[in-house]
Amino acid sequence: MIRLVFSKKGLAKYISHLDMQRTMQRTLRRAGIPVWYSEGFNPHPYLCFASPLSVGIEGENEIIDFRLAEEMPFEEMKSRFNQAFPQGFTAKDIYEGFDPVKNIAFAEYTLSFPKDTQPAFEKFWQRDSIPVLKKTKRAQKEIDLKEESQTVSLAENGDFFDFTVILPCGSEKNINPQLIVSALEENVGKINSCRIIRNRFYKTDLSIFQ
Amino acid sequence: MELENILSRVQKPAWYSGGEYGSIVKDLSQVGIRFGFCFPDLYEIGMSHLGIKILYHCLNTMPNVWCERVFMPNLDMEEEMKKENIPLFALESKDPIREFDFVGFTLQYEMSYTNVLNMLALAQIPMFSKNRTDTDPIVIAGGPCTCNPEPIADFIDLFSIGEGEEHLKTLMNLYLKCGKNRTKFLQEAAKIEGTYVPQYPPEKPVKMQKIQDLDSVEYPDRFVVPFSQVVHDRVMLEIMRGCIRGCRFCQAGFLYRPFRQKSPEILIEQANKLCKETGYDEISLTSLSTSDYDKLPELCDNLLVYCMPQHINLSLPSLRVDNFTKEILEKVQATRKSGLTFAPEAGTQRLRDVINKNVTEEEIEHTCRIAFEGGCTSVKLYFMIGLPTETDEDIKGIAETAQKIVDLYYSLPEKPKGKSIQVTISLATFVPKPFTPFQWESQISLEEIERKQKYLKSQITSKKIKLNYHDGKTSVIEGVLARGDRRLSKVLLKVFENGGKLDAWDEHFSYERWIQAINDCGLSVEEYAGRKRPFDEPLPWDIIDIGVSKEFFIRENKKAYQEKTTPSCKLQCAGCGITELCSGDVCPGGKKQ
Ligand code: SF4
Repeated sequence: MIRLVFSKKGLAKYISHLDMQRTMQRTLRRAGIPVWYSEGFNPHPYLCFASPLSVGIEGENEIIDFRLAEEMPFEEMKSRFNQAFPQGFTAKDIYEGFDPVKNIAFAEYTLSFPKDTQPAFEKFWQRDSIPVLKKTKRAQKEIDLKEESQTVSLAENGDFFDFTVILPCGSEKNINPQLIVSALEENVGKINSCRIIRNRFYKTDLSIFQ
Repeated sequence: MELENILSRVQKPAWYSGGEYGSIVKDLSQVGIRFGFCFPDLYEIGMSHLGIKILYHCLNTMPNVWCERVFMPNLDMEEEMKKENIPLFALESKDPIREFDFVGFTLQYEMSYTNVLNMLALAQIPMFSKNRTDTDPIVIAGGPCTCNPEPIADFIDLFSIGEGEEHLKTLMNLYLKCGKNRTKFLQEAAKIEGTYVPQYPPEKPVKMQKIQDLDSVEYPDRFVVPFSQVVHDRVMLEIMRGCIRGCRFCQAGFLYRPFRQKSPEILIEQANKLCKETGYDEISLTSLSTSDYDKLPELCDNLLVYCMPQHINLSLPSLRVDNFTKEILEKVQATRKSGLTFAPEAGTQRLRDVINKNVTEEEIEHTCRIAFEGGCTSVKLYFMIGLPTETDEDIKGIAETAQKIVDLYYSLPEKPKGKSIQVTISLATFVPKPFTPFQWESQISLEEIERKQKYLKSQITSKKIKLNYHDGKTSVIEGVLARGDRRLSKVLLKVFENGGKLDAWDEHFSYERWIQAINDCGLSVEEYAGRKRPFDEPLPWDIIDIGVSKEFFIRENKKAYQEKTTPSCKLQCAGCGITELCSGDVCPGGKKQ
């Protein structure tokens, strides 16, 4: 297995996880990557995405694993990917020997809010607890965003301010950063133009997943 | 930024965000003409259409023209756009199309007309041609429905009649020559063949444009590859234009005459290029009747040599029953097992003779036998109700035909083990269309449609037969629009003003809204669709000359009533008149003669 690390930015954030499967398959074909196909009646390449990215969130270091049928130098592969990717995608790294996807426990996100919402945001985040309802397929559950968030930081960024936070992102527990935005909106009203980027993944012990 | 905000709130943001692989973005400083190519329906439908891909490519090969795609937004998107006052924009640049030089609609089916009005309104372009000025885009239209442009003529500045690959380029060059002056351009364009400018009524019927040599005409070497799933999401290879059959109900069969094939070498080269460029894993051969392609086995063999190792599927829609061979079946199955579809269209031999669908019971049986022995367990059959001279006997014949297929399946010793058969009848309502031998015929009423549907249902007894049919109401309105005249523009406007849009979608179509508008305008369904027209009545579409003569259509109509068939063009030329415009492969004097 090899791992491709890529970014998905700009309008590409509107491509859903389901559409990503199709998009990657076609990109692999266009790039002429000698990807391994499953045997059998309807052969298809085996692609393993690290963790679905919600529509509307950009990704800085997204991960996809696949098998090769033949060797190809990684540098060549990378440049082929970049030729074949649609607008908004960039191949950043390709390597072998990596942490298995199941070891992902957290992800780090940066939320950029318009500067004028900063005072309201700081007040909001100072609370002891921020309970929100998390909907799953079957039920809804109350969670505390404050309790779930780790190593939080704030930084200036031109007309925006960046709020960086680590949230659970695994098969056991997964918290969508959009919950923070909607909780804030409940307090301060609708926020236009909040940009969210998923920066990277972490393992249970908060060491970088790679 | 406003656009980004609303995209995060709509259901299918990928329909509006653009950026698909293969979409063409040009440097504005190098572009002299901006063209918004509008498909008046949702993205998933428009992106499945081959015509838009061809013309998008053709226009963009002109260095000074930038053609972009525009689709009808879905209702949630429309609402958001209105709230934020975002006018209809093109996908590539996100610029409002009202700033473009041209806004071009492709009219593929009548039920999309209200979408044209809606898109003009969303684009903030004056709805009526007469109200547009020099600062507005020139609104043009093409596609099969423009063979009768009258119902929508008040809203369109210029119609491009026929195959657009060359005609559109001529128009673009003319526009530059006229200094991009609207009035001058329309005046000059009206003098060019294939152009209908309603403002300047033509003295002679407007001749439909045809491409003589398909091998040398431009074909896309890349497609825009959508992110989200669309109806036809694959490499489409147009293998030929036109049809040799002359089924009397089929408008496409006459509009796209004569029969012109592309050579296998060119097709294989195009398939190779397109697969590489798009990354698609399926090729579909498109035409009106794939099995009439002379060198089909050769083409399939050569395509498969390329497809198999690359895991590319080959699909062959539009196969006919009568010349369906085991050999071809095996070729398709070599890459994918799928159900079979056939279109006998009528339930009895008598009625099939009337409509000139030269298919016999034996042929249907023969084909199914091959298919079943090859492992196929599902058959889809297309039929129509409401054909001229039809009686209940013919409708009963539909059920009987399906039943025979079920019986045949169970009688075969070599049928697939342990599997049962599923026969699906897909039932459409016949709508008489311009430029067919049935253009004078009366269309059955809504009551008759519903009665016939019920009757057929009562004739089906086997659980292995499934009957699918549509509400007949859409067919009634389609029938009015298809053979309509200029007075219908008032109806279209009224329907639109009363909220009519996305009328090709059952959940949005309102029959009552249409009937109300028709009545309010002092018109009737009976006048347009119900009554039988005499041969000597002037027809609204007499202003268009598709090359096939009225005399031929009258001859064919009379033969229909005598239950006489007309052989295919390959067997014998029926003298349809098309050679005046263009000679096909099998026409007298054509290249294969
Ligand atoms: S001219 Fe003859 S062969 Fe050619 S399309 Fe017409 S009927 Fe067919």
